[in-house]
Amino acid sequence: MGLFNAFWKMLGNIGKRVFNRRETKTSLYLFGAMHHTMIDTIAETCDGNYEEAMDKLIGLVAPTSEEIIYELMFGTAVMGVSFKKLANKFSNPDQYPFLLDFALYAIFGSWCKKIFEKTRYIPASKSEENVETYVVRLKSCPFCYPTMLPPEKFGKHRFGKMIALTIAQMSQQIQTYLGRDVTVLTREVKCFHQGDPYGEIRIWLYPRDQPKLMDQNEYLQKIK
Amino acid sequence: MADRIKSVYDEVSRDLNYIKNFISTAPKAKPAPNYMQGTIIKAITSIVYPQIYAYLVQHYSKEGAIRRLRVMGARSAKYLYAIYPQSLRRKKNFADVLKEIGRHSAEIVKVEKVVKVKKTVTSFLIKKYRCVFCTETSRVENVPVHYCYPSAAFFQNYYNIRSFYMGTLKPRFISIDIDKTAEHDRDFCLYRVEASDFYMEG
Repeated sequence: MGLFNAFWKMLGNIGKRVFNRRETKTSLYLFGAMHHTMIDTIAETCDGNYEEAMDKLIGLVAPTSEEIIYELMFGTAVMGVSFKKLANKFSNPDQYPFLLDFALYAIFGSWCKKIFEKTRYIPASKSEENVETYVVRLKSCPFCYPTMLPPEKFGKHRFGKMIALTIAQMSQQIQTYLGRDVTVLTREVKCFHQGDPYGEIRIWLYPRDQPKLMDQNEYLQKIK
Repeated sequence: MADRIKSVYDEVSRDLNYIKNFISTAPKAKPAPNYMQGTIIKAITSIVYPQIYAYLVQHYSKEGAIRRLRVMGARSAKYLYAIYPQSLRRKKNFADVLKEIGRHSAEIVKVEKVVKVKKTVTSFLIKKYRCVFCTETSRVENVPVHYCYPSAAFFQNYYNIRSFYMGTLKPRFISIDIDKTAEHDRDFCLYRVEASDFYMEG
């Protein structure tokens, strides 16, 4: 089994590099600048209220980003191997970090290592929130850095909400594909913009038949 | 023309001021020095922009939407220089400054039909393939607002900020309008550029 997994991991590691290499890419600096200016643009339509602007932006973006992310993940194959096939080989909850890191690498390429640490898995029995939890830690953030805005302006939102949203949607689609009946929620619990020394996105997998578990999660009350 | 130059001058002066005084409120997020080479796949950029474009053209007049889209692009140039001020000091000729943008955006930028009057550049065309906005997005149909206004404004402000900072670049100032935008992946966007060497003392 170990050798079998090692083979698929090796194939996945080659595949993510090939995928990233063949895609057209823009600079992270430009993307960071565009990310900021898009938030500004919507904030201007909300009389400078950035918290309201983030709500509006997420409302606008979420439905279509789901489609685009689905197409990116499940609509492509590298060297004849589809992401679906790979996901099937790593369907256990403790193997999900490999799939998530795979997807992040496909998006950011080798720079992924300068932005993200390896995803950690916390089983439900050890998680404060009593559900399966994944932790994505950021070492640097090209999204937060370009701003001079004070963090208070964003209210309950965090500046990197869009990354958290993208990770949530990727995770939801993968979990749904694997047949797991869960609602995926993410929050940026640590953020450079808030003065934290690192960024941290937490991913929680809530069983759909236990929605009350969400009430125990303090982060969900504090952060949008 | 003088009024136009004055308004661009004021805008660029404000942006330069921002860049010079830039102090991030997230200093620990500072990317590595060679982050300039960091990339993200272009398909991800198509997640947000089409929705903002659709929202603006649906909620504002044609002029209002264009103004907002232009501000959006101009601001991106300001933020880009703020986080990467080293690029302000790069000595290049005008065509190379514009082509340099292609390195950020993965667009192919060609400068064509340069018109000179008494050795001074007065106008030229920018032909752009693989536009960030036009070729990767699902479009909103039948809207009389070009899709890549932010890109045109980005080119304009990117050049003008550099020119005002360097003080030696010629032409000193450019103003960009869109002639056509790409309809499909192999098509190109065409920007008409007016240039001026008029210099305004602050």
